[in-house]
Amino acid sequence: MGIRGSSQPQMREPESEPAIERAIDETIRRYFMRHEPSPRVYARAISTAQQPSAAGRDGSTLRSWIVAAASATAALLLVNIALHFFGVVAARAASDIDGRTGPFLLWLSSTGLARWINESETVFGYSGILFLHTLGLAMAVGASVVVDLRMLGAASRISVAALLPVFRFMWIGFILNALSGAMLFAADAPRKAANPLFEFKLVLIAVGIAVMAMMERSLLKSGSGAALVGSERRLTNLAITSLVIWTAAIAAGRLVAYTL
Amino acid sequence: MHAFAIWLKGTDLSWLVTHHGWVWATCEALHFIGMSILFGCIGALDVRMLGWWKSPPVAGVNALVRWGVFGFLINLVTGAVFFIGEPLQYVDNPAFRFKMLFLVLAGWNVLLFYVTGVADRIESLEPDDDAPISAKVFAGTSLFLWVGVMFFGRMLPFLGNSF
Amino acid sequence: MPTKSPERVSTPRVTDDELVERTLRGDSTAFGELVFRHGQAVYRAALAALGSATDAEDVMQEAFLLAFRKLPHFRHDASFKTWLLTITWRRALRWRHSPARRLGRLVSLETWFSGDLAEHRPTPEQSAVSEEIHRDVLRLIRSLPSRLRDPLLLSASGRYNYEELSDILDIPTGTVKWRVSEARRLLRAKLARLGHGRSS
Repeated sequence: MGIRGSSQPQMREPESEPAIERAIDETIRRYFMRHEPSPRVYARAISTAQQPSAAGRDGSTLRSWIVAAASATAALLLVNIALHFFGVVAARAASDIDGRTGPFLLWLSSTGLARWINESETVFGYSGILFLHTLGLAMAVGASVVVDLRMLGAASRISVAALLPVFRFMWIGFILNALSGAMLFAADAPRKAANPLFEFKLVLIAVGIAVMAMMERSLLKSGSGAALVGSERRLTNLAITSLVIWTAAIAAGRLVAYTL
Repeated sequence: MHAFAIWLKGTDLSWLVTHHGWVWATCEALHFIGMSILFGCIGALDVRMLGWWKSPPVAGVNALVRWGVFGFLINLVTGAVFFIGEPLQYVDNPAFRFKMLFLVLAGWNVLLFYVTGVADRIESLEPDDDAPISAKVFAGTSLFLWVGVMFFGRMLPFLGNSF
Repeated sequence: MPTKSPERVSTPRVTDDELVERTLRGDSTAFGELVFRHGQAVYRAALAALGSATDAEDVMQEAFLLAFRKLPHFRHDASFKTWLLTITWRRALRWRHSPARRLGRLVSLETWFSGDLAEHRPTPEQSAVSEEIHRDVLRLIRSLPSRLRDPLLLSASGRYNYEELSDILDIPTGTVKWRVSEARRLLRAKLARLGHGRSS
């Protein structure tokens, strides 16, 4: 057969028909030979038989509790906000000095801890805790953004199973912010507590965490970290919701400083 | 520099920024959002190279960097708005100067990362592959510098004067 | 390329149907054997549909997971392999049409079938045919409509016969053959326009 091999890409002579057919077959064959599933995929596919219904991993019970607590808090705060707006608490609040000064909040703001946070001039005082709060926010929202972007189709070479460890960073950021946030609250309790926007921010954060926890469970439940089964649209929706919620939470957080 | 700041404060644009209350607040929110996107995506790459998250291939994580750039651009714009609105708050502020310094160093770090070819070397790493020491140095430096930018940003009202 | 293979349970030639029976009775190693036998076929089907190695791996896992869950409902009217591949194909199509993937194709700058041959060093026998034609062929395959591209890739991957393809794609055998030859005809015409071969 008159097959012409071309060593110079520039010079091209029309190939014969059998050569074309062979080229097509060869191209497809090479493409398939270049890609083989890795042993890991085989192992995971086999292990689906050993783990019929995938259980969550160790930390998931703790996380479920956190989500439950966050949701309960969110519900309570929502009720509180509703009461604000419907004027039920308005009459009582009018007679308070400096916002809601119930006994607990007065006590909290007078503790040694609160005074130290407020008065400390060093970097470990209020400014330092504020920095940790910002760092935690960057970690939690940053990790969420990575997961959400992947769920929406970006960086598709990250397999869905590889995404699971990212949630750990989100949880670390959340815990860091819960602790630093508590200390910041303690330093300024009465005014913060009276600010409905602050409560709204906490509600948004609770919802945001719940959404991320739902996404994490969805990914875990699909069987030994394998791909999504029947839940792509749900995860896409959750991803979009998550982005919206975090944006709103950040906006609320910034506005708290303006409405104090 | 100081004279430039005074001039800037007198411009119409500067007045516009400070006159409408919603401008500053919105830009603040956007600045934090941009920071989160930036830190999430760039942090993801750094963490992959440092080995704290080994499951994805590096090429996959690299695809997130463009979003990190997106976050950075948001912050560049909003940061410019802040500076235009209240230049005098920043120009003599040691925290601001450190923040800019760390920002420039972070940029240098990225540049060196690509110019020295380390970026190319890690591009082909498969899941669970360890990154070379040079990559880890760049990654660690990057994390340190960006956290520093965040730190001095937070310190702006405290180390400065007229906030 | 993988350097280490997981351990295989070495079995004498047991039929697929028997392995299915054993799995249903609780023998988990039997399912493992099925995975080994058909894993590559499943993977290649997914790869043909999606063009991305990562997605193909994900779909491969999903397909085996689904097959395992549906195993009690497997009626032995078709072969296990065909049944498994039908599940695989349907899953791959759902994956292909999902809104997340469509958005991802907009957002991601990666191209379909991006594992190009430029990185693959040909042996002396293989370089008898020009590298350039391979690049062109791959690019043209990508541009084919999916209803022609799918049968072409599946049939040329060498793992399925026309009867199996007809079951998997859910079209008559004649249609499969026609689409494959039509795909090849189109490729030849387009290649001729690029300077390879004579125009028909």
